[in-house]
Amino acid sequence: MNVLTIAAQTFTEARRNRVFYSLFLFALVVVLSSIIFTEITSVTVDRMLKDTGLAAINVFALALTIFAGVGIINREIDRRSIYTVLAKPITRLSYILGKYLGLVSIILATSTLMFVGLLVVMKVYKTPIHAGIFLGFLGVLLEVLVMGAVAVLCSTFTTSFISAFICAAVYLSGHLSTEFLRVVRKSEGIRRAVGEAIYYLVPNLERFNFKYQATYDLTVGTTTLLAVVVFALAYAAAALLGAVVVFQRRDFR
Amino acid sequence: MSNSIELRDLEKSFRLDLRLGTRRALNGLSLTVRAGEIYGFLGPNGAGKTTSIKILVSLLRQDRGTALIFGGDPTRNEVRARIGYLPESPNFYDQLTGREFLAFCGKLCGLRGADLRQRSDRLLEEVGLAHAGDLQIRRYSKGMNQRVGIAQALLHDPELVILDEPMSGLDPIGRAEVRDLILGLKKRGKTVFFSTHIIPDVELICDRIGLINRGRMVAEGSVGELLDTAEARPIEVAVENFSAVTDRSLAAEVSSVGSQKLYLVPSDEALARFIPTVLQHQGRLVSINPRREGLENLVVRLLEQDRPAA
Repeated sequence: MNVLTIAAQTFTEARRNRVFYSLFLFALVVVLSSIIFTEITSVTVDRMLKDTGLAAINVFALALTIFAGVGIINREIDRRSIYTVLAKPITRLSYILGKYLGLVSIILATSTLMFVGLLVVMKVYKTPIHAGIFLGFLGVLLEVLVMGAVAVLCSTFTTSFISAFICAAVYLSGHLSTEFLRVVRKSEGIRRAVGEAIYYLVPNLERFNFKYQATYDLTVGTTTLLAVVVFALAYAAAALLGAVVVFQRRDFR
Repeated sequence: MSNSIELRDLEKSFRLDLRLGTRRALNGLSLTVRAGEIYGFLGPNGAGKTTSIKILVSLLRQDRGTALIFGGDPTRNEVRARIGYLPESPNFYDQLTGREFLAFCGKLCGLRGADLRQRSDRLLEEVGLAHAGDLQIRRYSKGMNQRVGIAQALLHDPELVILDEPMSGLDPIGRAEVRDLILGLKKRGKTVFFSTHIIPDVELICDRIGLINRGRMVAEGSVGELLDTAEARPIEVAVENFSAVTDRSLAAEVSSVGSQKLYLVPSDEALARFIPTVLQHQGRLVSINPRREGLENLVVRLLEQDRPAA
C-alpha cells in the first residue's frame, strides 16, 4: 500500500512540475506536427505519419524519462524531503518501488496521450490503423520501463548530471549493442571478455524497436513478443534490485 | 518508569575526503530518555545532535553502540510507527498543498479516510495553518514550513516525538506556540525529545536536559540538578537599619539606598554568621536571594571546560 502512496505522490509532483509540463506540451505539438512532414515529402502520407509520429513519441518519452528519472532519488536527498518519508514506517524497498512506479506511470500517461494524438491525426488523414502501430507503441513503453529503472538506479548513487550522462550512454549503446558485439567478437583476450561483459550488462534496446512493423503494418509472433516483454520486465527488475541494494546501505547525512 | 530512548556508547564517523580523512561525529554517546518526559538535547553546532537524532529515526546507522526506542531497534517499521519526527530545516514536497502533504504522510503511517481528514484539519488548526492548508508548500514561508513539519510529526499520534530544532525559523509567538504544543504533548503522556540552541526554551519546558559536545555527553540531568552543580555564587542580602561595619570576608556592601543596604555574602557558612550579626544590631532582613549561575552561563562554561587542549 505504501508503494502506491509514494507512486501517487511522485505522479502528482511530476504532473505539477512546470518544466515537465512544458516538455510534454512541446512533445504533443511535435507529434501533431508530423502532419507537416506529410505535406513536404514524397513518401506516402500514412507511412510518413506513422514514422515521424512514433519516432517523436519515442524521443520525448525517453527525454521525459531521463529528465524526471535521473534526479528522482538524489534530488530528494539534496532537498532533504526524503528525511520525513524514510523516518515513517516504510521500507526502503517500498520507497524505491513507489518512486519507480510513479515515474513510469507519469511517462506512460503522457506517452499514451501523445499516442492518442497521433491516432487522431491518422484518423483525420484517413490512414488505416493496424496492429503494427500499437506494436510500435508497445516497444516505446517497454523501453520506458527499462530506461526508467536504469535512471532510478543511477539516481540512488550519483548526481542528476552524471545520471543523465550514464542514461544517455546506456540508451545509445543499447541501440548499438548488436554492432558493438560484432566488433567485440573480432577482438581477443581480455578486450573481448570486457566487451562481452559490457554487452550483457547494457540492455539491447533494439529488441523494443518495432517501428519497421508499425510503418509496414507487420506483426511479430506471440513467442517473440512475450520474450521481449519478459526481457524488459526482467531487466527493469534487476536494475531496481540494484537500486534497492545501493539504497539500503546509504546513510543520509 | 520505562525508557523511551536509550543510546549506549554510540559511535559514528563520516568520511570527508582523501585529504581530510574521517571525522568522528559521535564518540561514545550514551543517554536515556524516560517515558513521558520532555528532554532537551543541547550542544553547539557540530556536537552530534542531528547525527544522534538521525540514528534514532534510522536515517543513519551507527558504527558502534546501541540505539533503542521503546527497547526496540529503530530500523524496524513497527518501532518507527511509534515515532513522530521533524527534521532540522525541513523541506517537503513543494508541489503538494499542506493538506495533501499531511494526507501523504498519514497514509504512510496507515491512516485512511475520514479519520485522516479529521486529524489533518485539527493539526492544521493547532499549528496555525488552517488558512493555508490548500496552498502549495512552495508558497510557504520558513515558519509555515516548520509548522507543517510539526503537524506531520504529530499526525499519527505517536508516543515519542523527536524534534530537531523545532523553534528554528519561528518568530517569538511561534516559539511560544511550539512550547505550549510540547507541554500539551507531555500532558497527554507523550515523550518529547528535542534539540535546540535556544536555552531559555529548554529552561522553561524541559524535565531533563543533556548537553553534548564533540560527540559525547558533557552534562545530563534536570535543570535544577545541573544548576546545583554550578559554581558557588554570592548570596544577595538586603537589610534595613543596619550600619555596623562587617568583615568583608563575611559580607560586602555593594549598594545603599536610604536606610536599605545590599550585601553580597560569599557562602552559606558566611550567611549563617552574617544574619545573627544583623539581628544583634537591630537590623531588619528585607530579602535573601541566592545568585545562581544561569543555565546559559553554565552551558557556556561547561563547553569551554570541554574545549580540547591546544
